[in-house]
Amino acid sequence: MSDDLLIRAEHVSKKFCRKLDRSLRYGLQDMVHELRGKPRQSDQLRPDEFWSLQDVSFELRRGESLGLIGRNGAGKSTLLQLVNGRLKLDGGRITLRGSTGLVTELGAGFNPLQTGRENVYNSGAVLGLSRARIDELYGDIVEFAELAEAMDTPVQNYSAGMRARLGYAVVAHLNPDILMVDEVLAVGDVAFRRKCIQHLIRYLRSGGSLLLVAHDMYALQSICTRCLLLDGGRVLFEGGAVEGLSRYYEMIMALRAAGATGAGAAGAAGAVAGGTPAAPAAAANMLELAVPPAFEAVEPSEKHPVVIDRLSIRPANGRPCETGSPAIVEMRYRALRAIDGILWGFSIHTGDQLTRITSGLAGFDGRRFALKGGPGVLSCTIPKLPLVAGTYVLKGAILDPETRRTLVEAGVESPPTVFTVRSDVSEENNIRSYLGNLVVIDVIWDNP
Amino acid sequence: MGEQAMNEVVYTSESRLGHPGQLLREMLADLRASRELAWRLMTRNIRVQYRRSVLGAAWSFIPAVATAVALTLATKARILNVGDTFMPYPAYVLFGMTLWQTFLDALNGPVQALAAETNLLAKFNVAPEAIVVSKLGEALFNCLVRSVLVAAALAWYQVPVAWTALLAPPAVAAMIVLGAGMGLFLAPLSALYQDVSKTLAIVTSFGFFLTPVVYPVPTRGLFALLVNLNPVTPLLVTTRELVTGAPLSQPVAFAGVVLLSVVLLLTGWIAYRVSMPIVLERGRS
Repeated sequence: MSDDLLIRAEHVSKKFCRKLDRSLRYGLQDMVHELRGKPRQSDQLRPDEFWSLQDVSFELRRGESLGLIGRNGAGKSTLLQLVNGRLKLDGGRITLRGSTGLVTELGAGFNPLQTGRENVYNSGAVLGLSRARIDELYGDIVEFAELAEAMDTPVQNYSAGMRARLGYAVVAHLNPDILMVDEVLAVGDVAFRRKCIQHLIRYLRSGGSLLLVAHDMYALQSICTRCLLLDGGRVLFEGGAVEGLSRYYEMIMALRAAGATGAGAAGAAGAVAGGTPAAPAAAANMLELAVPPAFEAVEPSEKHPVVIDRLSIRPANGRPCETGSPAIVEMRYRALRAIDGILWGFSIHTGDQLTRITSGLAGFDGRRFALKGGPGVLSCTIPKLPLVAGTYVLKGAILDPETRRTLVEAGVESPPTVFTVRSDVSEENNIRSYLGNLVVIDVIWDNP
Repeated sequence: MGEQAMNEVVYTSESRLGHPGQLLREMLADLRASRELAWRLMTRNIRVQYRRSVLGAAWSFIPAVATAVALTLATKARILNVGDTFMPYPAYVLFGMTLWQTFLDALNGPVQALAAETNLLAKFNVAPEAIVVSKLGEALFNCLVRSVLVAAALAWYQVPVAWTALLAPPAVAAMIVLGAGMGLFLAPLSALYQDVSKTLAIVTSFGFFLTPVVYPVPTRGLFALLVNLNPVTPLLVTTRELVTGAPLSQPVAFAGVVLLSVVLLLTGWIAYRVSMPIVLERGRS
């Protein structure tokens, strides 16, 4: 292994058991296997077992930072535990060089009856520091935690934020070769979080290497250069952090929409797995998801003089819908007879259909629209699609000109049209997705 | 960071026993590395144990004193007749209880340590030896506190103490080694199944009656056979004899049990070590 390569994980697999009684029995079996010096029977699943990680490979070099992203249960923390050597692999191989430090559940190891000072010394010893070394670092630790006044108070009187601050402060002064941080940037106030992030950046600049699990996407983007997107224990994507996060959001949106309309979740994850966002394969997959399910063929009647056969939205330039580019909404209908002066419109909803984002309404400004007898098309163009990358739902309706009551609706009692919007892979767009933004507005910034 | 030679570590799914040399080297290195942490854990546990207590360290011998008082009253009232104990009965009971309790502390040490510190082991790069060493240190500390009481009782009852008492500490150490060896085998099993610690509690309370703690070694019958098959018996009896300078009654059994204890400790240590990843994966509550 070359000198600056600190971690090499090759085809790493790990399985867990869903049921406690079986898990304990397997534990006993595994212990016997270990003691007899035999390799475990680990390539096959026993009943109630599942793969928490499967065939995961990655490398980490000195000075690099790798973000691990994915939904809960994707295998991120398991991967850290394996690298940390606390759990045993069921397959593959991890080669490590240098010391490791895992930061998780800050302050969880503190003894509530002991003072902050005593706990600093205890945690230091747990983390492998000598007493002399902790003496040296003590002042810096207290300063970093901003707890000079509270050090002689029992930790049980600390707030959760104080505990976390002290916990992080101890770890921050460890300086291992490989630092692993599991979901700890979510604690403390904003100022302290910023301090932690700055610390991690300094640590990286001084030649440290970092494995980071964070749901704080600001943090992840500002710290990590690369990322590994995991889902169901497998690597869906490995590459730049900005692009990885954008894939992650796509996956989440697709899953949410799939959940809302009952489509398969696997397809959504699969769509993210294939190729780069611009790659045709991935685009095709996403569009496939966006194709509205066939409406039940209903014939127009006196009671329902018009039926909508299909409501769709497609980009004007033939590529997937993109933020800021033109898109065409099309409503294909069949009418019993010609109807003059109708009103029609469409509405765009979030993927979970809980929020109506905006709508387009035609005919209210005095312009006249008419339905032909028989099949026909109503269409319009959105010159600049204002939607942030994600999956949305399109609904439409045609209203009676006199009563202004609905003649027919698409997507209310019939399945709605699900569509996906992409945007350029950029940090700005990731932040919009992360913050749950729905629309983009044009802004003209004044020069300072 | 990075100045020192970087040692390469490889994790795979193979059994650790496949590379015994490497395993032993790691065990010794971890034992050395765990000294500082073991010391801190021990001092922390001892301090915290009595932080919310008025009587403090006195609690380590109050149970033995209470038992001694009760049994002495029982013998005085002739409810209990234990025979010749070659020293005043209260001193005999206190001495025996102290030794038995030290054995129990060593036996329960690894089991309790693992139950209490699984999370610590699971989250930090802590040598699994550290928590056991700290518990054995605690056992030793409690033993020292109780020894003061035993010494006072021997002085009070004017029991003669021979120069051979200087050999008693190694005998006590053998008792700790025996307990720890058994405890190391039981700890991983106990982390998986609670039945182990519950059974252990019953077996040890039964063991108390099969060990000559509050009565002299019996000489006749099935009971004598059982007491003499108990591995704690020669250690306990010999320690008492060394302190008082009485002739050694079980020197061969003593040597045999010491050897057995050392073997148990080493094999138990290996078993404890290689089962650790399984315990951390499945035994966390």
